[in-house]
Amino acid sequence: MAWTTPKTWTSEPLTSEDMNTYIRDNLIILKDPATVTAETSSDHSTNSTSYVDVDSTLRLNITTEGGDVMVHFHGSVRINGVGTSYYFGLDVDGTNKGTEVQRESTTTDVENPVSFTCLLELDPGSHTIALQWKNSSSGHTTLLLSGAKFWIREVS
Amino acid sequence: MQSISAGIKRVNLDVLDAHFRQALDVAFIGISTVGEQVVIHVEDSFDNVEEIQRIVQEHDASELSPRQHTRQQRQAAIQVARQQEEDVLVLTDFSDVDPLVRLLARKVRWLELELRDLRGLE
Repeated sequence: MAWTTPKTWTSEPLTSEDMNTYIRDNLIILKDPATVTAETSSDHSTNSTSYVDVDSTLRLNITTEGGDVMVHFHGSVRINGVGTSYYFGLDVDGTNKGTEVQRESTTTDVENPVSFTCLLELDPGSHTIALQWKNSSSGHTTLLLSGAKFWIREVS
Repeated sequence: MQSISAGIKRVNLDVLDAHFRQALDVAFIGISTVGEQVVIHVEDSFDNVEEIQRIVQEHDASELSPRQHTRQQRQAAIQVARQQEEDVLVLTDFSDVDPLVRLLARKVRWLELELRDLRGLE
């Protein structure tokens, strides 16, 4: 079922067909917007200094009706050294969109919460959005603990 | 960039990273792990997948990198020092010395007590 641009009525009769198309079907879509979620079930690590996928299970496909999607990620991270920064960002349809969140480690092997939420403007259709990460230096390893959550929901 | 996956039971990332840097030089970008999979990130121009598989297969997770070896030695030294220095400084031992040394002793004792508190020691 696809979103239908609402009709502007003038003086024609209100038909059940129009009500179903413009009111019922659109309300059904608004009540249950396109949503995809993922949660990691094992630890992940990287020392890559270029953006790489965190995991293939955090590469999500969503089909949108148009407008914005809200993307959210949260998890716990630790680094085995001081002075290295980790970065999380998004790859959207094969293009890295830059950094959404960055933090430098000030202590060794201490767990820290990390999260970001952002809005993406996408054209209607199918899209692939992947959580990616990298380090500022290959000398240390960033660990993302099991249980991190990543979700995408169309919001307009 | 291309990412090549390989199965691995136990991994020491420091050591594996050093081996890849030595063997692949600038073609090597980094390593990621996912459960019992290791993912090697290399430049697009790199085409020797067999070399990657060989390094992963020969990897010994029990081997220590120079940094890990140094850290292990430092930890051992700290353990020995902790056993040797179990008691806190007794300030009366410094009652007859120069006032500046007494001041220094008082500061050292204060730091000692702060550290013991941080470590949860009695």
